[in-house]
Amino acid sequence: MLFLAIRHLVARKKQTTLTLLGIVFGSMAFVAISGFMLGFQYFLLDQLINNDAHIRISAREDRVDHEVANKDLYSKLDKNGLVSWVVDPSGTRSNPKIENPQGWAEILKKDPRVEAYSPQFSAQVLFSVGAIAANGKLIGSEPDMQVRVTNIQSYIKTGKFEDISSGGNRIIVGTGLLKKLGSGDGSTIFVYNGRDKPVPFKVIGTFETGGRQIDDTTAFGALIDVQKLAGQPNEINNMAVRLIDFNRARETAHDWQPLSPDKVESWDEINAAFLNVFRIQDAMRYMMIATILLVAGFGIYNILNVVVTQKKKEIAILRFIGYEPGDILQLFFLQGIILGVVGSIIGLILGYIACLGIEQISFGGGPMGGGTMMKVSFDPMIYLRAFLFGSLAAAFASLMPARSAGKLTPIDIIRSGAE
Amino acid sequence: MGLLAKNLVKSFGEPPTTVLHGLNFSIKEGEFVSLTGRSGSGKSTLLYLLGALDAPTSGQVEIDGHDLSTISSDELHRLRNQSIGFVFQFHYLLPELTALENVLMPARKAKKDIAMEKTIRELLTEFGLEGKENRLPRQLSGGEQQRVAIARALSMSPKYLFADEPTGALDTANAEIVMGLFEKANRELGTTVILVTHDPAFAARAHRQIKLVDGRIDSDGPPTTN
Repeated sequence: MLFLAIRHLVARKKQTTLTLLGIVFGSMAFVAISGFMLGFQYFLLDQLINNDAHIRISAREDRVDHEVANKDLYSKLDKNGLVSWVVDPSGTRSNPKIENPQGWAEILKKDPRVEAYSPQFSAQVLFSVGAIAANGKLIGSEPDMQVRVTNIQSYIKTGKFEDISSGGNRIIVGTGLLKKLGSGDGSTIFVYNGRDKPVPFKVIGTFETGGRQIDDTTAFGALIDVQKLAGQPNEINNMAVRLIDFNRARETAHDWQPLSPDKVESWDEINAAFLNVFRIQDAMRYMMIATILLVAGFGIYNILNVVVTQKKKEIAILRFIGYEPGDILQLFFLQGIILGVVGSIIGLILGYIACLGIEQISFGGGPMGGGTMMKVSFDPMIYLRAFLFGSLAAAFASLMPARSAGKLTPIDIIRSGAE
Repeated sequence: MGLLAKNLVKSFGEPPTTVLHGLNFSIKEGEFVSLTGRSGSGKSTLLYLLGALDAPTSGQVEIDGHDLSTISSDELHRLRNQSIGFVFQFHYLLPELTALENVLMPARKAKKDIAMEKTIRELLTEFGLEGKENRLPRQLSGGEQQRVAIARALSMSPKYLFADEPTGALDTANAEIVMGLFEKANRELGTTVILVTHDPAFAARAHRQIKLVDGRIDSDGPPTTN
């Protein structure tokens, strides 16, 4: 019946073109919207996975209340119930640290899931140059270990990352932060820890990840220099871990958590809010596409219904020369399938062209652009899904008119005087 | 074996209106029978029952000894495809297909279209349609369209050809050509022809005439001219 189905479609060019357009636009919208949205998501995911640790072990920030204060400060008096507070103490312990970094190092070395790890000391500091100051984070690490855990090496714009450990007080600064401070390569920045006198650090290079939240606030220094700045020599408050398979991060973090009171979090737990936004985006994307395809599907349904009515005479002819109800069903169902498949393929091609166009749009260097261009995903799964959704919508929409055509009997059509 | 009608009753509607009242007759293989009667006498209804397009309210129709009410759906479709040909007053051709493709449709169902193409082309030539095989129905005259429809009905060399006023929409010359084709099929191929007609002259050219009056057989015998 394929031969006749094609002849039917070719014979009513206007109706076929209009129906086809619905599926074409539906598939094209799916590819373009998904390409754009997933491109953005993959870019951010790549940043989340490769620019930071897969698992971060950090010092627990213990809350301090009257029970903790009584135990630490007035244990003898507290036993006799002699301590009472006018205002209850509230806050966290200062200088949180990982209690047993050596123990963690042993665990990480032995675990086959671990690719690399890097002990860190990160401190919230105030960067200043003359009268200009900016809040930020100074991350102290062993450069040779740090480069094995994150992609920082690939984002270096000037200087060499490993040079932060050669000589004292050298830092690599995010381009945004350096711009905020109105400073440049080779200059000196004062870093203030909030308690002691500001300490001068020499800028020996810059980095740019494309994420403003990092580039505008972060600087990297040698572990020993940052420990000294914070007044916590030989202590670390973070352990960044890279796994061989980042998909196992959550499971691995859960395995490690019982081993120590330190906080062990996987990248997806740390960025749960981000990932939830992605889920909402995905839901919106599917709803939008479903609406477009639903409208296209209704178009096919309506047109095929009209066609079945118009083609009653032809159905009668086929039936009295021996064609079966299943053949008639196939005739109209095939028309829906052909419209779906051809429309989807054209939609995929146009969607691909649209994606190439979107990729050329400059986005001013924000986090979406990485550099200056929009990020678009060309994941084959997008195209496969668009094809399946388009074809299935068309097939589903044509099923009911096809079934009603299959139920017509030749004598009923002849009696109804179908012309 | 031929056709056999036993106590054939057909009613329509609610409350039922009986159109055919217990008809009994048989038609032998190779006969040329005309069914005549006034409009509403039930001749087309009878033709559709005999041609397996419709089912009687009661009674039975047998084709070659097979009771149509008991044969399977597959057998019924095979019968329509290979043993029965139908021609109507209006040509009933598929407008998207050429003359040749229309005639090949029954063979296509039987998956014999490639093997039969040469024979079908010869048939079209015999029907005076040489050079018009690739024309669409709308590019043919009314007479040519009806000849294509007859060629399609005869394409599978059926044992039975049912024609429902096939000359009703044609001019005299074309009606004459069509009647000639029926007579030739009956004479040369041995096709059993059952022809519904209003035209006494065409009815008279059959071997036998069954005249219906109000759903009953008024006369059954050699054709009369009045």
